[in-house]
Amino acid sequence: MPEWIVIFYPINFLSAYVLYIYLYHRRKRIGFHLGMNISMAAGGGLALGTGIVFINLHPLYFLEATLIAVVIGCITGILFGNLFDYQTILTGFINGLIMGIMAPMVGAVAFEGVLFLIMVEIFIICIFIFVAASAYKA
Amino acid sequence: MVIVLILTIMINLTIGISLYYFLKRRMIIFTDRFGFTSSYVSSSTSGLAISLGLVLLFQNHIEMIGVLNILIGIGFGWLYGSLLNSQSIIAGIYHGGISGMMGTMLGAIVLDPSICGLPESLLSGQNIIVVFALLSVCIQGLSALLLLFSFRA
Repeated sequence: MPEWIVIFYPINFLSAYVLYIYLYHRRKRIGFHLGMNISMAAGGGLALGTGIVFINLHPLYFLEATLIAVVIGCITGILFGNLFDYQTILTGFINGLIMGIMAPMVGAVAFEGVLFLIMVEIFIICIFIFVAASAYKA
Repeated sequence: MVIVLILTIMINLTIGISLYYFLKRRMIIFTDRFGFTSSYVSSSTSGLAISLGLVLLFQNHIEMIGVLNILIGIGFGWLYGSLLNSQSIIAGIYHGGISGMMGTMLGAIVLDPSICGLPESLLSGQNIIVVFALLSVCIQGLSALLLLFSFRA
């Protein structure tokens, strides 16, 4: 696996940070149903990206990959759910946890080539753009 | 190692059952939405923690333990979902069964990473099993604390 896939970490974290700042000023106008879906998508997407890139960079460290993906998914879900309600915290937390457990197993598929990884990154960025667009309309 | 695994399974069962009695006492203030969220969260984490512990404890009988894990997840989902109405029962059963299967998959990969195409892990067998057992206790305790915290709303 080539070494330049490290560049996916800053892309993921920077886009999640921009999304958080964008949502923070509009959080009063977003209802709880849209808020639940936003926290699920953000936590799950960031946990998936982190776990897949980590298991491809260091294939020997399965335990650390699972731990880091779970912790980042839980914290992201709690932070995005904290914008809206108490129950969106719970939903974002549990979805980040399950996606973080599943991410290293999905990342083991991508050992053959780098094309699958690029597609997953495009998917995550598109999910973030859809979330921002739906918050713009609300 | 066996003592640690049995202890973690007992702690997880105790937390799950005491969470049921705690939710049953406050059933009167449930709305539809809170019933869905509470049955989703508690059945997912209980099924995941208990099925992971059972797979790591009985390593040579993964087939029978897989069947038992799905039944345990469905039972927990039924228990938590039956507090409110039928939509929370459906959510609890579905997510409990899914988390039972996921715990079986995670335990099988922890025991032998080569079934997923990964090379052997650097930690030896017993250390990684103990760390995952402690991780299941952390997940169960943290989700129970968040569920108790959300009653303040």
